[in-house]
Amino acid sequence: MILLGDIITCEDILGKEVILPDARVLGIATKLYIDKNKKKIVGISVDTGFMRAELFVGIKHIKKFGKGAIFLSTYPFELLKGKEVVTTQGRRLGKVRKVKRDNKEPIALIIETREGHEEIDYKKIVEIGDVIVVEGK
Amino acid sequence: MSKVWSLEDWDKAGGKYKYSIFFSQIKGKEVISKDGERMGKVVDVVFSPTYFLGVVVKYKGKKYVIDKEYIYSYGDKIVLRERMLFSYLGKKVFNAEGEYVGKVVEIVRDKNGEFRGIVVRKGFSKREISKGKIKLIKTNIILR
Repeated sequence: MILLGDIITCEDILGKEVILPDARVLGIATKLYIDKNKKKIVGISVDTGFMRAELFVGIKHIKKFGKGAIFLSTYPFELLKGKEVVTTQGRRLGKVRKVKRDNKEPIALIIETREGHEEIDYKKIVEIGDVIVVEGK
Repeated sequence: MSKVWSLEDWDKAGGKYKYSIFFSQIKGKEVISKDGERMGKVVDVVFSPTYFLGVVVKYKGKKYVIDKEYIYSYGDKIVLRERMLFSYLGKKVFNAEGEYVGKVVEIVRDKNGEFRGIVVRKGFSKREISKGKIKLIKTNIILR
């Protein structure tokens, strides 16, 4: 049984702010993507700002459609690029060049270091904020 | 035995001097919390009168003292055990439905100086929100 209160429309989604798991505002939802054969929402488009790329966010990464904003459950990998990576001991490793994936799931960060490149297991990420904190010395 | 060292001798010294850090090594260093948020840069250190008390950071144009007990590690950056209360100021607050509640304009403490809550302003109105109603504090604040 579908309750009226559980139904939302495009108006409830488009133009709303999209909030990342770290409470950062990613941007504004601008489009809704619907699979016309399965008749299901597959994702949204997010305008992340002037002269910045529009990001597609798949429906499985959306945690909640709130009245005021849309909450995401995961951090879009595209946004990790360029972020500084620091260990819990304060050692700066470098900047993220790429996120390595296996079947769309992240498995490692490829970091640009002074010496070249380094690969960090994605499971070693402690926190993602202004910088990415990883376990290690 | 003289306790005045030349820098060359200091570098060779072991024991309690082995892991010493000079002000010049930490001045200007970025400070981050363990959850990856930037907390400013070191501009000074505090002593009282012969032992190290903490560091002074400049964060969004203002200076704050951080007690050494909050310092987790020294490296290329200084890592703090937790986020500092001063970083809450200016953060946007959203409720559990994502509705904008306002911006943090004040930190509320109890008589013992412990964090009790925040004061949020939206337009001309202000309201106090107790810490128990706060679900997440990171780049912005989400309420329960």
